[in-house]
Amino acid sequence: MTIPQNAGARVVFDHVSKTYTAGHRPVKVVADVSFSMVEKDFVSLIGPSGCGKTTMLQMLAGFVRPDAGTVMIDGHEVKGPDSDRGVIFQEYGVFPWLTVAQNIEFGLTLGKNMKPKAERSKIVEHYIKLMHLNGFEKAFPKHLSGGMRQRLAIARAYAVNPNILLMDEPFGALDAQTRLAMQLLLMELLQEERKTVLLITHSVEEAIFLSTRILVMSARPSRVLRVIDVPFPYPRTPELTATPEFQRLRLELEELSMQQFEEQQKLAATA
Amino acid sequence: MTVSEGHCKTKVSREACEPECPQYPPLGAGFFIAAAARSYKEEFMAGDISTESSLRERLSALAGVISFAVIIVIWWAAWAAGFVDPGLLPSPKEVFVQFVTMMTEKQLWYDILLSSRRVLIGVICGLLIAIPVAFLLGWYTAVRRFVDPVINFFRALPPIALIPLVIVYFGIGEPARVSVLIYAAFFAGVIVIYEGIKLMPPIFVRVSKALGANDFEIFRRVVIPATLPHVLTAFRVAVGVCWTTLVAAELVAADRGLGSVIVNGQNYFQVPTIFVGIIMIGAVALIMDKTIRVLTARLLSWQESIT
Repeated sequence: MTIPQNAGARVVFDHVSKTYTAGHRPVKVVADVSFSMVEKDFVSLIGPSGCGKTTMLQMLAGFVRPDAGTVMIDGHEVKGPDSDRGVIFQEYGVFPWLTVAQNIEFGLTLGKNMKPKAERSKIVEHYIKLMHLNGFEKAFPKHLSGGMRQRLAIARAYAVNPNILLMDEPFGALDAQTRLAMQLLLMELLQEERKTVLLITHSVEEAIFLSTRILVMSARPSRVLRVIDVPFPYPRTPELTATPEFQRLRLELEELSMQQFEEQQKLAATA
Repeated sequence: MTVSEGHCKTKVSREACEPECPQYPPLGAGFFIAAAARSYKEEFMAGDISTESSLRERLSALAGVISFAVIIVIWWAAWAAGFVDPGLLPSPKEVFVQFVTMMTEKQLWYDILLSSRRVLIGVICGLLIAIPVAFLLGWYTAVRRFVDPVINFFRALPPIALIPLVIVYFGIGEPARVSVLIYAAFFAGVIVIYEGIKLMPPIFVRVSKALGANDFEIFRRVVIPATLPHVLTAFRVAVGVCWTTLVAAELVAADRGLGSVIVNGQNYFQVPTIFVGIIMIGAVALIMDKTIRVLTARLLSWQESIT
């Protein structure tokens, strides 16, 4: 590998709160959340939908500012979005007017991360191969399947060499088959080029399979309810999901998240 | 149950394979993805999209020719049957002869050129103003609050209603006609482009920021290409509105141009001349529209479409 890799950063959420105004009523979505991530940490957030997980991710991405508390990366407060944090959305967000290669290249043609042409094409080629997009370099995203679009989005994010990868339900729109393949691919990718990862997911199984730690979030306003260390060593293979340890953890987490789901339902009913 | 190796390879589903043949080494993500990509690529490469679409294009061109032929036949039949006073309804042949005469003797081509030029100047100048204004409106909420009501007020006014005022201000020269057209193109275009900008998925902006783009780069590299389809739609709408307005303006005050051709036909009671004028306006507008559509298809080949 000739391309230098950033291997992660330390992330600290320090007593972070956020309130949105819905109509005239303020809705507190994140309440006094504190947690930290070390380099190469893979943290998953699970919890009922609408509980403020996305808001937390967006605060780390820099799209949203907290009302109270600070979000810090390597000791510096997050003031806005930047290319040290790659963001992957459920809706892919690949640029339809650019080809696959141009999409991957995009970040490297911006003033901030400008790279000479030769280096750009080397990086593009590298991620085309790593994300199994060979043969589609000149194709427009309209010719790609959902899984391929998401692989393209990951390649584009990786191309600018971020320290942190933020993924908001990245595989939520994919069918079960593709989803599994994407999880395995992400596992392989992180094996080669490790980052600090924050993943939001609805799938307990996905969270256990991929992460080193799982944060179970409460119903709104979001608090960290439980922190679970996932004891399985990397690299993980699909066989892991069949082990009794994995299943025990899954059941425990599913029970916990079901409780929170019911809490959230009650909250929605009274609102 | 005996499990052959072939069974395991053909089954793509890992779960389906797992309980039956645990003795095989774990399959990496590459296996699944390579398999999926292969079939996808075949689909992508095999689909003879180009020949199919050119055939479809030729079919629709043929359909267009047929529908015009039908209209001419009905016209001719109405004339031949004598339903209408022949002084009021000329035959297709008479109109064609008149067309040839006007082209060769009365410089009809100059009227066509003049009218087309006025429309193009109006559309291009109008949209050159409309694009930045629409972007400002779409980008800054504060600007929108102030400007939106004003734009809607002026947009509701038919440009033709302004012609008398424009004549008072600019006289009946070229500036008068062109300024009405710029006005028409601007208000037709600004709203289409602005609505297009509002439709742009915010995810594009967020993704670009996370890739390190500054505001100018986002505008130039993301907002403009993302809204290009709407700019081209605005172009098409503006051309339509400008033709309508132009003919009205030329009817009121012009010595040359397709509108004045029609007025002259009326003044000298030359019905075939009126017909030639009307048909020329339709034909030129049709050609312009087709040109824009071809241009649009070229520029927007990346767009997903339902056809």
